[in-house]
Amino acid sequence: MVSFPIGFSRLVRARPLLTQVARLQSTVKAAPAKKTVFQREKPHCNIGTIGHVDHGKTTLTAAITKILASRKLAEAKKYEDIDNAPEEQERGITINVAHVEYQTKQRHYSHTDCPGHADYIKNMITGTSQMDGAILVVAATDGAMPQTREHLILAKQIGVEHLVVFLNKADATDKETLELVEIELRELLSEHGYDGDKTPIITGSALAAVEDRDPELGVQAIDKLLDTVDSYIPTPVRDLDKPFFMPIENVYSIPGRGTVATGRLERGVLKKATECEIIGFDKKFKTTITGIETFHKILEKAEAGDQLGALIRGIKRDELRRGMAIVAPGSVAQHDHFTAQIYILKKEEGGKNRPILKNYQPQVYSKTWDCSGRCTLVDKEMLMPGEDGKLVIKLLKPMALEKGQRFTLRDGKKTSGTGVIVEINQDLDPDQRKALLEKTAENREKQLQEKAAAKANK
Amino acid sequence: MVFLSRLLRADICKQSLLSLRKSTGHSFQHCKKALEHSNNDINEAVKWLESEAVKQGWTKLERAAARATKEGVFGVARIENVAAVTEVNCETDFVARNSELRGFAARVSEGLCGEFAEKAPIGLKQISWEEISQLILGEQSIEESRARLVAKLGENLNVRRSLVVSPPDGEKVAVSCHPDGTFGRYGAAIFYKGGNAEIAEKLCRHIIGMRPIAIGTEEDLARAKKARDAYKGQAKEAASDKQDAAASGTEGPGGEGEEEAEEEAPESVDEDLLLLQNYVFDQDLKVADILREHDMEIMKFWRFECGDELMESKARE
Repeated sequence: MVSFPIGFSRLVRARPLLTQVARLQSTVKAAPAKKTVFQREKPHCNIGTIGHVDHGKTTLTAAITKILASRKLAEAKKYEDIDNAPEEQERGITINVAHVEYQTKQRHYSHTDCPGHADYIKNMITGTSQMDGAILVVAATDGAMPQTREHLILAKQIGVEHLVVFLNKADATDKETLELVEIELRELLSEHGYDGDKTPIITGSALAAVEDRDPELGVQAIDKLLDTVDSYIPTPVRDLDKPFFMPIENVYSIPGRGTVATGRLERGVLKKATECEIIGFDKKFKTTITGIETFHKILEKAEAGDQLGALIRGIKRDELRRGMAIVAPGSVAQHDHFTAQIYILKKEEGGKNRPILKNYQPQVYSKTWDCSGRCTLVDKEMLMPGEDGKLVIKLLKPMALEKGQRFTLRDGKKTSGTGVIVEINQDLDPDQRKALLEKTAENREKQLQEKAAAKANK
Repeated sequence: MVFLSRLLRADICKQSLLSLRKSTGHSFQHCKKALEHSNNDINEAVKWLESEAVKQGWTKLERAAARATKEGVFGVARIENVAAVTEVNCETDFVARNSELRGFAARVSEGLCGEFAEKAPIGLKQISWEEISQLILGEQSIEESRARLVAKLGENLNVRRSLVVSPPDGEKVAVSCHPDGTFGRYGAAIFYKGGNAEIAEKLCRHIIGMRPIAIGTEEDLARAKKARDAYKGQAKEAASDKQDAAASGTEGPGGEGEEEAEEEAPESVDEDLLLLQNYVFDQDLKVADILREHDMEIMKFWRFECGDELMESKARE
């Protein structure tokens, strides 16, 4: 408290105390017994398996955990344990998904397996575990199935850039057939926008690995597969290593000290006297962070996950507001026009009973900001609750946003959908903006009229 | 014996195996067996595969029969004034999106349209699986096609139901599905007079989306209009007041507050009446306006969802 006669960290909300504690524990490594503390020694990576129901996805997962368990790198899971993807609630949305955790010598993995297309899409949109890569499982006895096309379309759709193919059941067929299946698969991969020639294809038998026979097709093949996944699927950049980004939750004015913005540092590392940009609502300020505090303590350095208050030089309280973001200069920009993948909530999930129509005007919420938006469905007339689709959204004001950011849509009192930004489009020009504003005003008036009429009618 | 088959195996030409696989789409395993049987003669192998595929399908069906078919798709068809809808269920939504499965659903529907072209019962009729399965499409029965498809897709498949819809004299029929027109998880059918097929299909999709319960009558229309007129002035005033507020803070906490404060329109009976609903494809108009514009009348409608019961339009007292 030496350099801050009047502390501002009391403004920092108490909510994230838990994360703070968790962070401390993981560094001190002194857990209060019972639960083991997660040791963050290796980089983390999310992968998943995709494939036909009978081609051995689950057996492969069982084989991986069995082999790694023998090296104390995983907990062995039986086929039955993995088979029934339990229903999970993520952001109120029901997803059937099985998560398995294990590590190789290089990395720590979270392994996702879903029964259907819709589940993978929901998993991607809610962002529980964005898949960094995937293993396509194909039985060599059958070769690619007609629905393998659908599997590849899905992989592209959920943004999986790196695929590794596991050619399973190799013990039930011969070498010539294996070669042909491989040729066919490479063709199919190229057809769907993957690099068919360079995609690694590993031949083996998951069942042999589970049953401890044919080590060449069993254990060794699984080892080879894991090595390939380690090397072919790139390690995702950790949040900590990215440029800093903090959405502002609240802004205060501390007499004698200046303006303080509070929020949770989502990414990167923030130090005292760092230059930064504050963006949002079509505004942009260049300034310097002159001090950081958390829970009444001065922070020399804040890391991703910390809840903090940042003292900002030379900007008045009125100029800032909730929804803006403090970012590393040039790392994030403001946009008002983007394409998104969206899931419409069912009524049971808290959504509406009616579909989203081609032109839709909800309030868009993301990070700490919200803004009126106009949505247009791509290639469809309407989306029913429970369906997913592509959407182009225009915002009334440019906001801090980037590819991969999540948002929700609300209208009236209800959440109608949740989505993820897949592409940033060209910003609107002044004419388009004007047209957008006029149209919005018009629609609002009409809606109000109708509501009033409905009430009167009642 | 084992030795002999090993020898034979080595003789299978890679090229013919690959081309057989490409042309038939059957699994490598079966293509290979076929070539072994036919002594590398592709034409013979194709014949063997075709007959074997049905058998394969049966065994696979037996094995897969216990597995639940929770996903599915409708395939609709309409020939002249007879329409048919078929719901095929499968295990994963990957397969529900596959063109082979959808093609099968469409073929069954088309077959039913043809079958009932002359003797269609008035109204809607559910056709039992026993009746459908023996129907001959092209060269094989539907039951056989199903078995083949099971062999190819490797999933349990069921034809859950088939409906044949045919209107009384002087009326026309239209069917449509969502999301893909002739295929989808949702479907609707209507009987109508006047208008044209295009707008009728759009109205089907409107029914899918807006889930009306009944059609509504002229009296309902008049009553709603009266209520609206009476309060129009008042509503406008209120609207312009709110408009000012909205213009000053179209977003941010202000906008949010206003949004929250607004009351959801009360769920009135009128929202369930087709005629009084806002038209999905043009929100500025009511369905009644569209019907007037096209000089059209809707007599009856049905709405169906995959795995759900059929919903028929209620007559309104």
